Amino acid sequence: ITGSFRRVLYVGHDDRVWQVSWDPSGTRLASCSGDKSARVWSAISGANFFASTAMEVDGSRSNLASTWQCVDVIDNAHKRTVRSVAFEPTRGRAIATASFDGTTAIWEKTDESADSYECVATLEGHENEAKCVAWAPSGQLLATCGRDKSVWIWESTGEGDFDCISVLMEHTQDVKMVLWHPKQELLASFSYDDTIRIWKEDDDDWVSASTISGHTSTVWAGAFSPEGEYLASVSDDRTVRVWMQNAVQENGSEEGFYYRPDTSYKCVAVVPDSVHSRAIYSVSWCASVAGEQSANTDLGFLATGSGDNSVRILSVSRKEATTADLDVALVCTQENAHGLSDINCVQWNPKYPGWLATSGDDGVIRIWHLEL
Amino acid sequence: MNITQKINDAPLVYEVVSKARGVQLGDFDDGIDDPIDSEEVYELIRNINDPEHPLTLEQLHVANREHIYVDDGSNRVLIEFTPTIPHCSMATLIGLCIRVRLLRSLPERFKVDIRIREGTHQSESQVNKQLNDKERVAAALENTYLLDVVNQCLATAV
Repeated sequence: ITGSFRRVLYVGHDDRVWQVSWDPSGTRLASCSGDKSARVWSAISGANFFASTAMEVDGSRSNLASTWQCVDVIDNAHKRTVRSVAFEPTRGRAIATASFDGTTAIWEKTDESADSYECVATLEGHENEAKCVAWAPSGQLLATCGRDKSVWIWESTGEGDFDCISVLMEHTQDVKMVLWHPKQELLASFSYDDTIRIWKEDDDDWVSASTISGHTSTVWAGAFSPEGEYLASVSDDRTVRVWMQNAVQENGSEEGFYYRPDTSYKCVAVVPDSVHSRAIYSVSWCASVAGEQSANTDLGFLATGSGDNSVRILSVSRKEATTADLDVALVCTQENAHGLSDINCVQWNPKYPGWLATSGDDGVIRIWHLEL
Repeated sequence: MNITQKINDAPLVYEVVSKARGVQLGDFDDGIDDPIDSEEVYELIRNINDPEHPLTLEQLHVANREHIYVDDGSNRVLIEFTPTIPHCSMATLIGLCIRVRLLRSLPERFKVDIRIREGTHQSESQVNKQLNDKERVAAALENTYLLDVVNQCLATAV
């Protein structure tokens, strides 16, 4: 398969944009930045924006006004860089932000019609920089992580606020990212200690279910495959690795005791370091792209963003329908996707296949469409 | 109690072989392609003050001309610096000063890697990892105390 990027639009911040997050409808984006703010962007034509593939839009700023607009600037909560932003995944009415000031804030729409957000809760606990916030698919749980090496799990009180239900301290260095499994109640965390940890609930408590080793430097980010059977991770070691959860074998139940093995992962693909020439900061996984013939070996596409200024798209497929081993092949590359700046984040649109948002050190958010 | 005890209170001080960069053809003519070279990068960092002593990185041989690698065409700079002693706890701070100096002075297109010269520090890999983690650097530069210290070290580098 070969592909190319067709559409580029951009919108801006006053400093590097660390992360972007789509709302569940796919028509709005939240972004966060070293300028200490988070912003919410909305496609002016709503879903029509994604339908009008015939109309080519070039990358000039003047086109922006007719396609996307900034509907809210959240700049009154954090004293330092806003490192992470996440839309609530069920209805998209709330946004969480995590900051280097150590706090995580929850923002809710003031009313259904207005696109403005107010702070309804501030979650405190991290000793210093909070680096990521992630909502579980149910919207009932939240995870945060930070430089204090900890992962915190928070549970919704039902009124916008959250109570901490667990503090997980097993990483030996700062934790860069947390990510929920799309189907199971599992949390993955990615760390400067070069490992990934998987956490699960066990008897009202959260425990370490697995430690995944293999990367040789900081693991910056990860993405589960849409069904959750695979996990891709990207690292300062410039590789992309794909891991598969081993089938759980429950032994000995006939003997009257119950053995619950740890969740374990094995590496099923390594994309070598020749793909990117500097650290890879972000990865996103989409199921498939519109118009493409899907086979039962097809597992969709990975997008990666790197300090080498490029965004790459990799196709993922099973070697055979029956085996776990994967083929990961480069489909297309966008060099200098944010000029000569690092790419900090790549996010596939959850509703409109093939649409990708990226953000970079140039303070810009771009929206691309992958054409195969 | 001496709270200002230095990690290395008697460092070797080297005579500075003055090799000021002479006026070059490209300096006044925008028409001449004038790539950034290692000499230019050395000029930027040699007068950074050591955090412990009123001495420059050049005088202490922490920064060396020969350990600066610049590839203007591919926008890359690699700087290897040499701490005065292998257990120098100031190594990260010195590296951060070099990074900030280059962040402020070099065109944004450059990707800068800063490393300890191999075999010259006992925590070489930890320091290297920290200095090249953009998130850690960004967070450090929001720390006003640390930024003050860095700015003091950079005050001499003009």
